[in-house]
Amino acid sequence: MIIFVLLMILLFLLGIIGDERGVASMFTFLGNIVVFFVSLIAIFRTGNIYAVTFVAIMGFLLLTLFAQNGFNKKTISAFSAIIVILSIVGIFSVILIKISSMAGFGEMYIYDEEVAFLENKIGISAQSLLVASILIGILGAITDTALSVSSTMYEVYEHNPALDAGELNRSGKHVGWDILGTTFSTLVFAEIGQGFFIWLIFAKNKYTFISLINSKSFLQQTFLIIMASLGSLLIIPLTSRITAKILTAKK
Amino acid sequence: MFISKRFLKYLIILVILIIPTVVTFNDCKLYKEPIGSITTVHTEKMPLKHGASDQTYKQTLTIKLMNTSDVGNSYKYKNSYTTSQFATTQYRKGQCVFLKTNVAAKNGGYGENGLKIIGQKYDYIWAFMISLLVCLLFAIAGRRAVLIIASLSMNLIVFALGMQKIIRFKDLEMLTLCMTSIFIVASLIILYGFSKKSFGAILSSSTTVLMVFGLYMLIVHFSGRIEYEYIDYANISEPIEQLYISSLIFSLLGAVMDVSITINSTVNEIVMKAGQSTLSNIVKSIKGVSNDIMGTMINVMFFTFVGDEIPIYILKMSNGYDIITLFSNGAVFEIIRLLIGAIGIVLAVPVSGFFAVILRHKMIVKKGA
Repeated sequence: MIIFVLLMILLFLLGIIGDERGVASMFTFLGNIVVFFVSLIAIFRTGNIYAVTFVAIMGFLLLTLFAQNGFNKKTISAFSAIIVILSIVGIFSVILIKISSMAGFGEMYIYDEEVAFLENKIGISAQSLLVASILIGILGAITDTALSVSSTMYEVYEHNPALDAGELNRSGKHVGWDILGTTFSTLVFAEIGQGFFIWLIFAKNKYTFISLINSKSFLQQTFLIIMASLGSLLIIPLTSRITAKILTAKK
Repeated sequence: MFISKRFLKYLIILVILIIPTVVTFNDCKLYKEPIGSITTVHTEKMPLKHGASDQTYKQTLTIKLMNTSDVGNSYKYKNSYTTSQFATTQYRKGQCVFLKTNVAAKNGGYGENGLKIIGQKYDYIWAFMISLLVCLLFAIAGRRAVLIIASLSMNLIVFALGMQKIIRFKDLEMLTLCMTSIFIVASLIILYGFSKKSFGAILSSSTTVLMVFGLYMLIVHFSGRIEYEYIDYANISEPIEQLYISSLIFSLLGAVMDVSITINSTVNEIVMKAGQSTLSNIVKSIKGVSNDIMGTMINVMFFTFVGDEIPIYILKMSNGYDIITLFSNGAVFEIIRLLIGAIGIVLAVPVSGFFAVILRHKMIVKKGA
């Protein structure tokens, strides 16, 4: 009931505040939820985590970038940069997850009564699932950053077509630096809120700084945010460079 | 000898990256708890049991003690893990582990001298990740990196101190209000300085958060009782409802501040740089910018929230949960969090527009004339 009411309020607000593009955002959001459900079922049925994750990411990008913002130079630049950064962060995550053996249950799982009693020998690798969750989890942040940079560069170029690739590149980086601070804040506060009841357990158990940085649960809880921040950082110069090249290609 | 600036920059980054990682990897002697380094690993594949979905492996590890009075002694240790590795761990050569010694076999001692691995050493992973992030931040964002790091550090310190008070479960509403105010004011002032833009964003963010809070309370009032005891990791002896509301407010703060500063910056730029700026032009620009950012901001919240949960959702589905059951208990609260966040992002647009225009009212009237 409460979910239905909230959904209706969101749809109503998007309709009156964002016009038809607001409603399009809502459909993109609903589309992403559908893709997410389908990919969960596909992972569970096939066990082929990486292939399903790849297809799901393509589905998410198709909706978020192209269906919502059209097929143009801005979205092509952002898409290219996102694919490169996802590959880099993906490889980096696989290496870190393997060398640290951080997948699986952390010490906090005993506090989640529902999960603690589940059969956990399910034939699906917790390590691969963690990699999938990182790749999907960082997608929002890097897409937002890439699109902000490429859109602004496009606007700058439209107003001043005399600019060369180098000047455009610098302009893109400036925009990226401007939005980095709030992107990091969005990620950090989202995690603070989402993991709030786990943070409470850490506080109640009087974890010290040293015990925190050696805790598997703490590492798992923050790993996504660190990888998302890393992705958002790396995508700024890459998007600037790609967008500048694509925009000035005819010269 | 000529060394280019760029080479020097990358050399400094490499040194900053390597030193903390190497130091923390070799800091075992600073710990009181026994720590061992895995020096050899022998893995044996066990026959697959009939009907089992997981393959079992047995490992024989050699663990060399890195601290305590027995430093340098090596012990054999038996470990087993399965392919899914939810509750078991595959150890690798070179990993450092925390140990308990003299554990009786019946209490889980799996090695010589009653040795038991009780956890892994992750401090060097943290040192590596944080150094990498800081180096990249300085390399890409330059001096602005200092402001970003200051703002994040300030928020994390306030959160850590706030949590110490929250676990007393007294005056939770007041605590949440104080923490929220500090988060908003400190983040925006540190990142954007004392300016009309920051002031507008502070007013917009605070008002939006209050509006979302009011809206949630109103809906809850008319929706009947919500079974908060289903929230993952919640303890029913604590004031779960108040804690959940605090968590809702914290999770939407970043996104709301992001929208508020973007709208305030846009109005500021238009008023300062455009030759003529009428109210209708400004409203049109606010709509244009908000249409660009709303969708992607909602997606940031969506992917951050769902990404974290994938392993648990698959585990639950493997235990017979269907999609409906999966999203009818604990996950309901994550969906509410996502929708509240999305509503916060959308509401922040008109609220920020209102404050941005009010704060520059005189200038708009002057330029529009």
